[in-house]
Amino acid sequence: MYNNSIYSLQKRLLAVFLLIISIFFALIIRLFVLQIVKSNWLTAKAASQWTRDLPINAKRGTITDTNGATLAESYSSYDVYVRASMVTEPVKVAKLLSQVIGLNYEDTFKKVTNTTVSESLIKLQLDNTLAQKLISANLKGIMLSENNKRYYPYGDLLTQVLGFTTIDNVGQAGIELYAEKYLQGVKGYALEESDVNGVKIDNSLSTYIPAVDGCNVKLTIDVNIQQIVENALQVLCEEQKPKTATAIVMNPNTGEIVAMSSKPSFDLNNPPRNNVSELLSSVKNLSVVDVYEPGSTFKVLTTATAIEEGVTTPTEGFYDPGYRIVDGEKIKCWKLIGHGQQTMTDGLCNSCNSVFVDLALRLGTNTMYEYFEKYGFGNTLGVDFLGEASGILMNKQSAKKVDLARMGFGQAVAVSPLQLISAICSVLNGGKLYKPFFISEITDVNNNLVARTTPTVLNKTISEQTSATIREMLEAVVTKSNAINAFIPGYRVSGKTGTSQKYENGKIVPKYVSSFVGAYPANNPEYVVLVIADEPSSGNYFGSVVATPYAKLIFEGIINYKQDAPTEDVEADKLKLEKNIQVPNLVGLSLTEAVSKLSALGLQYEVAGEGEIVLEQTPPPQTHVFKNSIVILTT
Amino acid sequence: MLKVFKKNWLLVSLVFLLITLGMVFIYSASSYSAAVRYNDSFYFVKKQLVGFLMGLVVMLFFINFNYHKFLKLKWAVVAVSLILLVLVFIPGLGKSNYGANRWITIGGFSLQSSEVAKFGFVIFSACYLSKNYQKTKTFWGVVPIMAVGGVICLLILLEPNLSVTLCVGMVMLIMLVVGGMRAKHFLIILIPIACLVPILIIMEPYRLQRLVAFIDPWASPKEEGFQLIQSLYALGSGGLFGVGLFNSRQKYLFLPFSESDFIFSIIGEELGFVGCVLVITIYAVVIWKGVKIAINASDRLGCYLASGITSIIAVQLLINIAVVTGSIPPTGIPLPFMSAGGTSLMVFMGAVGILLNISKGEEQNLNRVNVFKKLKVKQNKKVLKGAN
Repeated sequence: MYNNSIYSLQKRLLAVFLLIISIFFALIIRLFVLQIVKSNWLTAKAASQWTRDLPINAKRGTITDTNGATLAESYSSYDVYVRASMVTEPVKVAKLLSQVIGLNYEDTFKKVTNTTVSESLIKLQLDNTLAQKLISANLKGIMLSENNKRYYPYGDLLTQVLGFTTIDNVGQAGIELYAEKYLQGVKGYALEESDVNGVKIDNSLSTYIPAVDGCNVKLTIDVNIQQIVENALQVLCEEQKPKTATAIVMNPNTGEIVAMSSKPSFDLNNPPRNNVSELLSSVKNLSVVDVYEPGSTFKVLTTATAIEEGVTTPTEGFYDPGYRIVDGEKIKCWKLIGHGQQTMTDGLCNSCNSVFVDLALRLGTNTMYEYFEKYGFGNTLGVDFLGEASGILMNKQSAKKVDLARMGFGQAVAVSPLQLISAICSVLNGGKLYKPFFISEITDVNNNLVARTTPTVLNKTISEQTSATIREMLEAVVTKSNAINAFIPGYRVSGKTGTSQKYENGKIVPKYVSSFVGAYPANNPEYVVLVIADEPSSGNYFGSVVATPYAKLIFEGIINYKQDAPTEDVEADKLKLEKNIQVPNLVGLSLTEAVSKLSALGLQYEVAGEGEIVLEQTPPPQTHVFKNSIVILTT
Repeated sequence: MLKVFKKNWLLVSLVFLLITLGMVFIYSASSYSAAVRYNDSFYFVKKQLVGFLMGLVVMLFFINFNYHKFLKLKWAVVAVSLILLVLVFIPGLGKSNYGANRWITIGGFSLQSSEVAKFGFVIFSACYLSKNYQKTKTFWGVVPIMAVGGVICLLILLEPNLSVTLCVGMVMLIMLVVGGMRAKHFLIILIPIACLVPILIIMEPYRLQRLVAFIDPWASPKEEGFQLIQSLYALGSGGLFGVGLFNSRQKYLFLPFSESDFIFSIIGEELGFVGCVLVITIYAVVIWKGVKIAINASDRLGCYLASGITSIIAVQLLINIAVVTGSIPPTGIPLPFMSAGGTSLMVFMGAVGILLNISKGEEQNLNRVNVFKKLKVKQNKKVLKGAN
């Protein structure tokens, strides 16, 4: 019987209540599982979303010269973003951004109101002063992230050596690239409590792991001398219009690179990033990465090798008829009529090819190559710079006699300017080939020493005695030859010019590399200077005219900077250079007649062309010139 | 009136305690999001306070409103409920929010129709049962309840608001059970409801995604599973004693609706397992008090009405906690008395007013046989017939 009484109603009510209470218990068990059993697991997962990592950029290290002058430094700039979802006053925000940064208002407004993306980039690398304006406006939705911008106080100086960084402050070329791991520092982090949108919660705890700023790199470069070099090359470029011009100043007693420059160059604060080919060509540090045929400057090394090996002496007599025949092939001296009878030292002064053909043949392939290796040719020196060239040496086995003869006067061999100057340094400093280097010291932000480069002797090239002989001979070259353009009254400068004609596709073409390598002071060199002008287009191409005067500018600059007192009698020296000689009219004369006339007057000469009759002369007749000045004879 | 409060002091004070706790946690949960969204960290608290004051008026009204008047008003109540539910769909009056039409706005005041309708249903079915309790043994006797309940459910479902539909459906079942429906009839209506599930999913495919998300929320942590995961994070990081009042981390926009449907998660985070159990206990006592009022009611109408009201409280509580703990698929339903939501608070306070009104009749009925006495009598091995 079914009886829906109040009593059964109440019973059912109680049953429902008990059912509900039992579900409560089930839910409490569920809560127990979540809040007690799985608590740690859930909390750990939850915690990962409560905080946000903000990378803090490390300040990139400073690059200084040897005296501590700043060459490259970083300062703060700001990247500006806008987070549209947080913007409360879009018109104000867009106005402020467009005015302060100088952007189009409509575009900015679009970004400010674009809520489909969480953040829009407004501007990278905004200057600190402008960024402060944005910060002080205190408008919601504008995000600034601090950044370090690279600044090069000297602009267009040491362009290829320093290199530059990407817009993200990563070293891209030069020392900036080579020393990247020291300069970059270690990024820090700010761990912030944030809401679901990554907005920092007010008054919340935050963990701050500070960034470690990059190390400071001190170079061997002396910015004063570097400026002298840059200026000299600038003048060279204006006057001689070469394709490129390169110069190195090295301390021969340590291998320190005191100055290094290549032209054309650009302002490091504004690299021509839009013109990639220009950027790539002008960022190349030609001194280190490029090779060339050194020409007559190489004769210094052949001389040193020959004297060291005892195959000649400075006073040995040589006869030059204007050529040598090697293996049936006629190797011409640049002076086609020949230098006649001369000593070994005269041969170096006259830059007589025949003498060096003799020396190379006397030394033989094995000895020549043995010394190439000692001088560091055919191998990298290990300079602290990326992309160092090792030079090009002919395979020893396939080098014929005639090739060897050419190598004697610096042809059929290619070396980098850095290799050449390092080898020259070794024959001047007593025979020690130093490893060249740019970086003298690396210190951390607290000025603790991280690394220091000590001069490293790579090879012993020649004896101290031979070296002394070479120093004397090289000084004689300046006073007695076409290298007179480097002569500075009162001071002892040595040096050797070089002019090499270029081969293109196996043929000699009328393109030249004009160079000069020299040292100051000649008797105990502190600075060795190499100047190279590639393909001068002003009409002249002799090293004596295209390179030497600019090396002299460098020497003078160094003397002036070091405030070195004259060691010689200035007045007596000046006489050597006095403009008391009138250039005679030589046009129409035979080359032999012209040369003997000039020699009688105490003038030096260079011959352009291969004819027998003088067609043109520079300077023109009746010009007053110094003793030992050069007259160029075009035949 | 003081007498009513005095007599039901525990129920009244627990309800006000829940409302107060609700306010505190609404502030805690929403101060940040309200500051971000409305520039006013008290935005939701203020709205809740307005709802509370209006609820107080409604509550006092119903304490003094003789519930027997519902007998005459039952069809009017049904009509009002249905009209409110239909108005939701009328453009201009209805307010669309999160893709659903659940609110109507009249003169700046918005009202959630289904909150009113579910009580409308309880009033109707209580009135019907009190007159027709003898018919409930037949299938046709319970049809009117199922018809009215079905129409209300359908309209709420169309909003769409699955959770309130579910709630009304469960309340309907409780009313039918309490009303004396037979078990086999129970099955007859359960089967169509079971068939309805796939249809509902086909209607709105997002429901299937929610269902899947409920089984493995971490499969789609950024989409469907997001809210549930955030709720579990909140509860889980609460641990035994919680992170402390106002120290919730999940309220920083991680947990959506943390001040309304998911307020229990914030309670769990800030007060821990202990706090959760405490809050559930308070509710259990409130529900027990409701059941007692039903049992002690002077007549069937009062009993059915009190049962219905109490079951709404109980069902919403169960669904809400089941949702935030990931025990059933996520669906939005407010926690009675606590969740932010003016209509909900007002209606629940009104319902408590009706409960108190029913409790007034108890004195007249002290000598009436009821289940408690009966149980005692049973212990004495004396069987008494019901005095109906």
